[in-house]
Amino acid sequence: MNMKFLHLATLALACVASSAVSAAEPGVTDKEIKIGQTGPYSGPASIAVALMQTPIAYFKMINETGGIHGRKINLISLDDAYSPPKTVEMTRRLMEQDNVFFMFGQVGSPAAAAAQPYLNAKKVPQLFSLVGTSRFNDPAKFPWTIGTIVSYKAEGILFGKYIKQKMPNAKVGILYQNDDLGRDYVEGVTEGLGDLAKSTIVAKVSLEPTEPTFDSQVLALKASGANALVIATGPKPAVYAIRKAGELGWKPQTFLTAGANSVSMVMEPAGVANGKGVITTATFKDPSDPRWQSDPDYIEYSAFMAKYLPQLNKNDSYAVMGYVGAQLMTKVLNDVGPNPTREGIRKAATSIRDYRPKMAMPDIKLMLTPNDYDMYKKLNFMRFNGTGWEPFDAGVL
Amino acid sequence: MTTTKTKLSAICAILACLSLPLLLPEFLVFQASQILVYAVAILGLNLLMGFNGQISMGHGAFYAVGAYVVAILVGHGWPYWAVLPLAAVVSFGVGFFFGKPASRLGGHYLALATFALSLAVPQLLRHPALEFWTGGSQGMYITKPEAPSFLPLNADQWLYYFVLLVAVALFFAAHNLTTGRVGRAISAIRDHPIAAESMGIPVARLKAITFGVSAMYTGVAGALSALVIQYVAPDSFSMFLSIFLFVGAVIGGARSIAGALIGGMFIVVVPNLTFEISKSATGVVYAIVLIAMMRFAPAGIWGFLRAKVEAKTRSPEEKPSAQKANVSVPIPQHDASERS
Amino acid sequence: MEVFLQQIISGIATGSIYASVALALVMISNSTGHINFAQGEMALFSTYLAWTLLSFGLNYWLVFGLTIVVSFAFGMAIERWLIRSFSNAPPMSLIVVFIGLLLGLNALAGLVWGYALIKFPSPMANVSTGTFLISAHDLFVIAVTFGQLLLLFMFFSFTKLGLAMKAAAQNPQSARLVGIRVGQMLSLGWGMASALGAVAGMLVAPIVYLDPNMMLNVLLYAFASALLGGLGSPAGAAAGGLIFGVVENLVGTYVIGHELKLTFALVVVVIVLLVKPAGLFGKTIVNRV
Repeated sequence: MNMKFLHLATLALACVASSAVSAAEPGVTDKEIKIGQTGPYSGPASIAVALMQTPIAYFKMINETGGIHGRKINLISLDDAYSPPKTVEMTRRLMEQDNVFFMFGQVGSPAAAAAQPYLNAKKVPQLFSLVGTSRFNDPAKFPWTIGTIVSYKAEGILFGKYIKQKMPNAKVGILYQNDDLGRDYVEGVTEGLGDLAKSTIVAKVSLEPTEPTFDSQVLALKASGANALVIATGPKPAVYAIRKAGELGWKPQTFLTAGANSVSMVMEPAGVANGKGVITTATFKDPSDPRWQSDPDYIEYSAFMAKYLPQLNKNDSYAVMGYVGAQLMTKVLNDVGPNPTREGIRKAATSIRDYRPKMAMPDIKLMLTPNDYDMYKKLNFMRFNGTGWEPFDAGVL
Repeated sequence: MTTTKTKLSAICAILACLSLPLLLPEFLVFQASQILVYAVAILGLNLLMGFNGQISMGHGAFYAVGAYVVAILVGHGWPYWAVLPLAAVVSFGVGFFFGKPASRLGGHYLALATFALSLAVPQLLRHPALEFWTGGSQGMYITKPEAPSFLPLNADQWLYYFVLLVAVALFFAAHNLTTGRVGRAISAIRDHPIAAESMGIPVARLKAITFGVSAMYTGVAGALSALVIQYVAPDSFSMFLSIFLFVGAVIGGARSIAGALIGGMFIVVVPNLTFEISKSATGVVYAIVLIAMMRFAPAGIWGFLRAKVEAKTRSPEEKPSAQKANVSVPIPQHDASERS
Repeated sequence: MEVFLQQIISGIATGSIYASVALALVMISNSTGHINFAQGEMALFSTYLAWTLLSFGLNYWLVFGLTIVVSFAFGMAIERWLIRSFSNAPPMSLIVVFIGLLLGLNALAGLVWGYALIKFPSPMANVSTGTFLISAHDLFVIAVTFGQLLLLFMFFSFTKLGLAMKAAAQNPQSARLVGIRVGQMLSLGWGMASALGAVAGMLVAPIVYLDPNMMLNVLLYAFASALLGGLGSPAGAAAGGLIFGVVENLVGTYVIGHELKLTFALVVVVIVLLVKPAGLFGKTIVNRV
């Protein structure tokens, strides 16, 4: 009898508490949490559509097993065609019309940047946007904005340090995309090389990702006499550059960015023979790498993709990124407890310690603190052996 | 009679526009501002394409010029309202400078040359030499203008009224321009450049000036957009912006002033609708809408509506020919005389 | 010096890609008087079709021929069922239709075949030229482009059909009076352009990889090439492509860097047009009152 009463009392209390929450926090009811996302469903950037599809499917799976703290997750994902003004419009629609709790996984750095001041002014978390530029790690100015990709600059610094320590006679050529991404890598490599930067960097050649071919750039880099080549681009130019270098019989020590190292989508089209010996860093397990085919993470991921997104290519690296982002989001929503607030969400996100989402590399330990929003504290070097990536300890840092 | 009717409906429209922000939630006020901004941009395009017969697929470039003038100067502490005339002057200059040689190109060549302009703009904005001014690919933020403290308006409402004021002034000016002497000369160039020349119209100069005025309209729209969006970056001004402005102009009805407003609505609203129809195939649905629109209203929505109204006021046996006349846009003689 | 030579040769190889697509544009322009913004996306579809057939294990040359035939029919069908219904529409409306086709076909390709880069096979994959300067496939592209050019030139200059097509495009009323079936000629023009586009797509894909944005990038350069050489002349457009490819490489490498090479090349095109409005090799058409 007593027990029953206590139960009822706590239940009533919980009800009162949660209804109080739903009154205070937009987008949160007893049954549901509404989250917003923008991304390119149309236009030339729709190559990244898996970044929206995977989280939607992941939350569907979570909802089928009862949701989080009894609430279903409703991810409202809208098209911004990768155009910053459209991102602002869609973000405002999500915030003001759909009343979402916060924004998650906005795709692309110009897009996320456009929504950044608005969301920060409203004190709304802009979590795990798919951006790697340094301006998204600025807790003092934009405390509500947290990115989720390895910082381009940090990776560049690592490459610079590797070259400085391991390649005493290096002459560095950099092939970079003429945008945020490319510029950040150039800055990073220069910083990593430190005092040697001036004497070792022999060529910096830019490209526009929309050019049909990049022959001219690769020829110019080869002519510079470089014996180390940093390819700071997205997947397509990287494929092209690796193949072209191979065709030219040019064999520099090539470095590839973490965003462009998929075995099936970059190395195979470029020709695995041309890619032998390429160095990259990794945060995720590449689903097309034979190394992981019997890995429990991969098996689970693979089953998830087969069940919820059968029409999608599971080797798509964007799908893995979306999968990891959705797990992070799920963790934060779990951690924040049954009475989430926007401030609570931010606190939970910046209290992530030593977390390894599934499909992240084995020794990844994500860490977010209120003063540092770059969650990757350590990157693994890997070398391409002709079929897949082999991690190695370079002893650099 | 028609003129009083037009005036009356224009006043009604303005009154409706004035009351909008007081009735609608903030987001819709923001969207309405966006529609007005695009309408002004398209109006510039209509003056050039519909009235003067020069096709431009690169007006995104002038839009970008206006937006960056605002972003740079407001960033240096200028008040936003003082920057607007400057944006107009700069974009007029750029447009005139580009239009002067370009006006010698005809039809397809001009379309493709202006298209080239729209491709070059994002590259130029990202160029290291200009980075100090343009902020490179990172772009620039613009602080949102707040309403003067004596007005009980929030920033969105205030900005809407500001945009509305500029838009009404520009629409009024465009109306006067096109119905006046100069306007007839501009249209004469479109219909028969050689005849126009022989009648003493300075064709080349007037074409270049029209290009400049058109660029000015679109530049002012770009300037307003920078205030509304509060952010400019090279990616905001890709070639797709130029394409969408072009599409908006033609679908609204390039040979009219009012068509620009419809075009503005089209640019803002239709992509959202097609996304509601199909998430995965939004691009395909959008394309079908474009083609279907052109199939059923080749002279644009405004042209279509006008044809409907005119067909109604005409005697029944004339109907079919009237419909057809509108398809091959030039307005037939008797039609014009009826109007005056 | 070797680098200089390499940049020139690579410019020629890239330029021949532009030239092959530019030929299709000129074909449409010559036979219908339109600029088809959707030409690239039509070629994209043909290329995906070829790839699908190849993945069934069919012989390359069989697929090559089949794709050309199907693309020809596809082009004629688009003219017959879609473009013809716009014959009275203002030119700007027609451009919107082309833009619609471009956006629609592009989105559809992504929907059907996905966005992964596809390595498209080349018939010259196992042939070596013995030098790093140029690959066998590059030579193949140049040879095929030249072959097409020759065929087109002969077709438009010496065959009755070719002359009839030209007449139908330039002056439909008079053409009709002398007994040319203008409608058929327009369909035929679209079919041929579509077939040329298909060849271009299959030539380009082994170099730039097949993905839904493959042609979007190439098309812009093909337009510039066609403008440079003259929209009215196949030989001019092909030459325009080669010049564009070489100039772009040299300017990018030696003069102003790669950031501005496209802008620079476009400025050159506009300047050429101002001096010679019909392009370097085009004939100026005088308007009569």
